[in-house]
Amino acid sequence: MKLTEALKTIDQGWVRKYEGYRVRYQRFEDGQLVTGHSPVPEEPPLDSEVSARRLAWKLWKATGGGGDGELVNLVVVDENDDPVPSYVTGKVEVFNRREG
Amino acid sequence: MTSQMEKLQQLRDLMMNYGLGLIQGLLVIIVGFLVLRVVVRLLRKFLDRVFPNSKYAATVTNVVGILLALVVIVAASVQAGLPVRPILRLLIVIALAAGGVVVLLRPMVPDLPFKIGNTVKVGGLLGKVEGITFLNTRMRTFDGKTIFVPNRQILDDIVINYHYTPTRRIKINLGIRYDSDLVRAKQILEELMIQDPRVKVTPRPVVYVLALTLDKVELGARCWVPNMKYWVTKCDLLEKIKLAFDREGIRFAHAQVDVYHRTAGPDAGPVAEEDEWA
Repeated sequence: MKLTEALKTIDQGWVRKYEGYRVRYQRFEDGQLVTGHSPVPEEPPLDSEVSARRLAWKLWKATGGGGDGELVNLVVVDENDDPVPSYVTGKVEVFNRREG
Repeated sequence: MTSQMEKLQQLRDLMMNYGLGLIQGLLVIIVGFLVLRVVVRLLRKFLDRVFPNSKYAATVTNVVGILLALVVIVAASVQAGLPVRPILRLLIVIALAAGGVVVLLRPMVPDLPFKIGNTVKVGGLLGKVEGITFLNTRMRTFDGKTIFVPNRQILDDIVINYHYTPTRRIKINLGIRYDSDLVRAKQILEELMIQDPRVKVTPRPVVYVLALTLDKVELGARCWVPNMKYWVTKCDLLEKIKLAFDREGIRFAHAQVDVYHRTAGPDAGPVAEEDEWA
């Protein structure tokens, strides 16, 4: 294996480079949980995991009072909508977890 | 006495013939230049808003200002009853002479190593260039201060212009304790840099062991990011490194002092030892 091939293999298989982050959340509408994202998929994602996680936390703090606009199950996701493990705990963090 | 009376008579005649026109011309000049000033200021604001950081905004504003000034001068001349044609000729001669001087001297005037909108570091000041005049450069620092730096000082000083290269290298040096897992620390640093969307793939992020000092193993992490995202990326990486090291049990090194208590005579060895590592 040439060195360039080895480096390519490492890039593809070792540490995943994220393309961006969004906050995925849910809210109750007519008794059903509806999923949304911030920033919306039409907008470019955030390029900072720190900012994305702060955004999720602030959204939770701003809406988590149990009112009409309460956002639940806030989680930072990547470009494939998969949850991103937190850099703080190393695990997937869900703010204001609620079962559907 | 007669001569003085004649002079006064001449002055009176002159004022009778041209006085009103001269006063009107003077009024046209004063009002015209006041209006010109307002128009130029409004035009500058408009151009700055429509074309932010454009290097041509100042030039366009100056040209419009000069043309309007010519119009005011000609209008005042007409109002004062002065012949317009010689004044126009004079103005054209002045304009041509000024243009010639500029063309001749332009190559001899040293160029400043930046343009409006560039982020530069001059004389220890980091900021964005907002305006350049013949004498000084107006900069806005990132904490909101407006600073006027003399061009003479800029030409004598080292200037760092961050505009010419689109990327910039982040340099993070940190020390870990000798009993920490060195290899794991290097892995974490590299992983955190690779994961970040802002960090460039090439040149690849790298981690070095920089030094083995008395109290720490010094590590150096290097990666390249877009110029505009340098500061935030560096802050994010520092935060992530701190938390990841905490999670993985890798401890940062601190300056340490070993203290020995001697309770016996001068020949006695150390009887108690306090080690901050303990």
